[in-house]
Amino acid sequence: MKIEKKYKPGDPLIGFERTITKSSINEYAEASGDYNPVHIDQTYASKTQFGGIIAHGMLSMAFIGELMTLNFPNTWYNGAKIKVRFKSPVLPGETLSVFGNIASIIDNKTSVIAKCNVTCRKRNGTVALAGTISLPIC
Amino acid sequence: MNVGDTYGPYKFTFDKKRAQLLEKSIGTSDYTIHKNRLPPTAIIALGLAELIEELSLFRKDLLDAGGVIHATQEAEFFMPVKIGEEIIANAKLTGNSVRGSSRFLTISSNFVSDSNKKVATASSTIILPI
Repeated sequence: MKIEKKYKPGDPLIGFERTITKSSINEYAEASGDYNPVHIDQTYASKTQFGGIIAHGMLSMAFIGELMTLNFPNTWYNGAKIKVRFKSPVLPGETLSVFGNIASIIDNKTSVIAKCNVTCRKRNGTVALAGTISLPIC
Repeated sequence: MNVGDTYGPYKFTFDKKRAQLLEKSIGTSDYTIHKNRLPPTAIIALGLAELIEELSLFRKDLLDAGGVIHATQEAEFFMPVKIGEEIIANAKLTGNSVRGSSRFLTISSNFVSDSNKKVATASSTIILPI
């Protein structure tokens, strides 16, 4: 089965950084329809355990989507399975490294499936999101 | 809320304006939007927002008690969705348990196109204060 690019376990995915701002959180709220006050109301959010506005977990997951589109533009939309855990809130002003690697490759006769580990991590080392994605790579 | 309860259907369309807002918030390099395809995670996010609205999870008593936390998300994507295409989502409560002072809800959703083609499935775990 022909694979467009040679992948092997351990290969890193092409990653990137994103800085979260209040604007990007507001834009994501409007785009997604999620107006949870913890994301958009500083007065409310300051009284919560988070002490202030936090980004949507799904915004971090959207970054993972971008990671996968960047690395697997032809197959991310067809047949990918994703499983993530939101581990730590992301505050405005924080920068996330979005990265991953190929954990394993399974070649059966009808398809080749890559299993990837994916992470969004803050500059202080705290993991905001961690998960796995399985997708066909050819 | 009982396991087995169903929600929806929700019909939504991710139009160009919304897609551009999404693009701006994510800081994409535009290839997704320029190919006229929505990021698959955006579909899940829209369905989740509709569900949260139906379940009234942003009501005052819950917010005052600490609010809702999105703990985990799973999804499977079957086909790309074009900007402007209508999506129909249905959801079901598949888990409802209590641990300590928190309630854990698991909600499974499925998404189809307006031509009834399977677009995605998802499973979300949300934590509520009791």
